[in-house]
Order: sequence, then C-alpha cells, then structure tokens
Amino acid sequence: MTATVETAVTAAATTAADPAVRLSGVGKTFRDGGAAVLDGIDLDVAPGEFVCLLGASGCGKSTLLNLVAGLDAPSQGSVDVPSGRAALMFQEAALFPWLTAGENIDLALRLRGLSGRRERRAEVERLLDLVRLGGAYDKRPHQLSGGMRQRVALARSLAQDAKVLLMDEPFAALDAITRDVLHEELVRLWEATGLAVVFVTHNVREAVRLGQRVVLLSSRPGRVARQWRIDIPQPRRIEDKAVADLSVEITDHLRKEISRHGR
Amino acid sequence: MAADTADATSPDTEPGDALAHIEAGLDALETSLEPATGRLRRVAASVIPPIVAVALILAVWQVLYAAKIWPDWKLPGPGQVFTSLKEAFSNGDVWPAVGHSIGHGAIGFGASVAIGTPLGLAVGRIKAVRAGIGPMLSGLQSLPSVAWVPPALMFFGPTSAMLYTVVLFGAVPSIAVGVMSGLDQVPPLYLRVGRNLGARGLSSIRYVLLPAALPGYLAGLRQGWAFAWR
Ligand SMILES: Nc1ncnc2c1ncn2[C@@H]1O[C@H](COP(=O)(O)OP(=O)(O)O)[C@@H](O)[C@H]1O
Ligand SMILES: [Mg+2]
Repeated sequence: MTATVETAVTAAATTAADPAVRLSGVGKTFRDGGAAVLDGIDLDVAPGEFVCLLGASGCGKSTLLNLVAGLDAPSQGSVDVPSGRAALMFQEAALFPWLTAGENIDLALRLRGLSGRRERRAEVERLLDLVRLGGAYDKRPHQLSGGMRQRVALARSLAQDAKVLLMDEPFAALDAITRDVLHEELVRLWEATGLAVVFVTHNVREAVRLGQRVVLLSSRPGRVARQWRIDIPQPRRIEDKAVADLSVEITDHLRKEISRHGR
Repeated sequence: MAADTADATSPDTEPGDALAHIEAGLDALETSLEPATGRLRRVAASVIPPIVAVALILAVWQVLYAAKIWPDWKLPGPGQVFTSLKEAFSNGDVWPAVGHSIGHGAIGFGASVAIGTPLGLAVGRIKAVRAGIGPMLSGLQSLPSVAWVPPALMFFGPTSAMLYTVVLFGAVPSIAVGVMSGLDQVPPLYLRVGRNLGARGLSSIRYVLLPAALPGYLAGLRQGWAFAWR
C-alpha cells in the first residue's frame, strides 16, 4: 500500500506539468558565517498535491515555509511559486483581534483588490459556510474556541485565492478531539478546492493521516532526508492500522536522524 | 484526488453530515455558556457609571447647600448655578470666551496630531530616524509644557502664535512617542500575516500597523489632548 521512494518522487514530479512549488538547491543562513539552517533542498510540489513536511523541532520547517511564502529570501538556490503567491496559515490562528471573524476574511478579499462591498460580503458568507461557521461573521476572535479560530483562519487563507496553501503546524495547539475533526475537515476542503497543500508538522501520525507524500527533513542543516508516497485511500483515520504501521517506520527514521546529533 | 471514496465507509448516512454534527457539537461545547454581552449592555456599562458619578456629586452638593454650612455667596446651590449659567449662555456672554479657548485647544491639538502621527510612524519604523531623534523625543515628552512658555514668550510675545507653540511642543512629542510605543507593541506575527495577505506599504500601515498600534496611539493622544488644554 505504501512505497518508500527517494529520488524517484522528485523525478516524477518534475517531468509532470508546471509544479505548484519548486525549490532548487535552497539554502538558508541567518547570520553571515553562521551555521546553515537549510542546505541544498530540492523539492517540487505538484498542483493539487498534499505534502507533509516532517522534522524535529528546530530543523527549519518554518524557515522553509517562510521562504515559500516569500516572507524571507533564500541565501542560496531559488524558490519558485509559478502561480504567484502562496497562502500561509500559522500555529496560532493569528486573526486580527480588532476585527470580527467576518472582517478578518473580508480583509483578505480587500487586499486582493475586490472592491464591491456586497460581493465581498457574499464571498465571506460563502467561505464561513464552507468551514461550517455560517453566522459567525460578527464574532470576535476571543469569543471563538481554538478550533473555530483555526477554521476562520483557514477560511481567510482560502479567501486569498492562492493555488498553494502553506500550513505551519496549524493544529498543534488543539486538543486531540478537535484536531481529529479538523483533519477530516481539511481533507474535505482540499478535495473540494484542488489546492496544493504543504503541511508542516512534527507529528508523524498527523503527517501520515493527511498527506499523499511525507518529506522527512534532517536537522542542522535541514536537508531532505527521505520521502514516502502514501497510497492509503482517503478518508483515512488516525487510528487506521495502515497509518499506524507507516508511522512506526517513519518514526524510526526520524529517531535515527535525531540521534545522529546525540553522538 | 479521492472523490467518491467517502461512500465506501457508510452507505446510508452522508459522511459530510456526520462531520458537520461533530463540529457543531464541539463548537457548542467549547463556546462559553455566558450570554454574550450585547451592544446595549456594553454601552450601558460605559454610560451608567459617569451618570451615577455626576448625580452623586450633584446630590452631595445639594445636601451641603441645604445644610447651610457656608453662606449662599460662597456655596450657591446647584439650581442657582444652572439658572445663571443658562442666562449667561442665552445672553451670548460666554460664547466668545468658550469659543476662543476651545478654538485654541482644538486647533493646537489637531495640528499636533497631524504632525505627531507621521513623526511617530517615521521614528517607529525607520531605524535611522529612530536612532537620530528617538531619544530626543522621549526627552521632550517628559518636559512639562510650561517649560516652553518662557522661550515662546521671548520669541512671540503674548500672542496666539506663542500659545500654539507651547501646545505643539507639549503635545507633538507625547503623540509621537505614543505612536512609537504603540508600534513597538505590535506582535511581529501580525505584520507577517498582513504581508502574506498582500498588505504592502501604505495598506500595511492602514490595515495592520495602525489598528494594532491603536491602544498605544490612543494613550498618546490622551496625553497630547491634556497638553493642548494646559
Ligand atoms: N529570524 C531568525 N534569525 C536567526 N535564527 C533563526 C531565525 N528563524 C529561525 N532561526 C533558527 O533556525 C532554526 C530553524 O528554525 P525553525 O525554522 O523555526 O524550525 P522549526 O519550524 O522546524 O521548528 C532554529 O535553530 C532557529 O533558531
Ligand atoms: Mg516551526
């Protein structure tokens, strides 16, 4: 059901149509002469693909997403998002507290250049319905639960109308029950929208539950250590045996990566 | 992409429905049970205390007046004061005086806001400007505005120009420092979110920076407002 693919994955993706994201030889160093955080990363994400980036804390996952989002520039190599921009979602919902849930989404539309007030309102309502928060337009972020806030943030990301959605440990702060429900919700939205998703996590099970491909990063410097293509059909559950089995295998590799640094 | 795989698990119930029900249940459980404070209640909460305070002062005043501890010319009753105020206003005696001082205060304050806000933005956002005049602004801000009266008197004599100078020198640093410290308190995360949403340059200032810095800005305005009246 599952296949371990190393270089073959990248080769196959490259020959397909234009990728949604292409990283070539990407390196990142924060200070001149400092240690490289990322080094020689080659990674293609196909349009509509769901990729999970997995790695130990501090291995450079957020740094990598920031590069793709254009919030930071690589020190070496190139980052290419042919469709133009990528929407980025953070661990904290990062909704603006001075705006209501609906206004937060509206701001994304406004900054996209949509000027018609009525059209924007209809679009915000549609997006709220999509994340099943119809009627929450006037709620302040602090009135919502953590899971609801992340759904508003998700709706705001969708409002950016990007072809690529970057998610930086978006469910890490949620309780297990809520996280489980949001996994299902995310897969549903991904199937409905056809977005390419790059989902960063340090939770192996979560990566296997969600992704079509899991990319394991090494630490110091961050490199692509190994990749797995996951053919377990959706809907998966985090409790599935196939998910558990592959998680064990990937965790072993992750541990090996980490213990290299303990010697 | 996996499109109709959902049907495989449960043929009779729509899986989307089940998910919607779980989500609605979680939302209901995680949202606080306290009734949301409505707009009316919030308005009431901010309006009632001052009204009560004014009523209390009037009541104490009336009681003291009624107790006749001081003669009438020293402590007139609230009623008498209102009647004479009403007369003065309807005669038009007071309007020029009130208009004059409100005019000076308001113009001075308006000008201070117009100068202090961009100045604070520049000092808060541009490193070179901050290094150059940041410390000077903080120093000026801590000076009491009366300190500006003697030099202003020397330059302008007892004119409106002198008054405005005092108001400006007193209020501009407060407002600028308010903007500056408001900016310092803006979580960097908000700026990154704003940039990802497509806010650049002016739109970033308008939609992210200023609203996020608003609490500090308002504190600066309040202090500036106080200076404008002194
Ligand atoms: N702006 C920065 N300046 C200096 N070092 C940074 C910066 N951002 C991240 N780092 C360093 O880069 C490494 C990777 O960080 P990060 O990408 O946040 O890891 P992860 O998201 O995988 O936990 C860490 O060692 C961190 O200290
Ligand atoms: Mg991180």
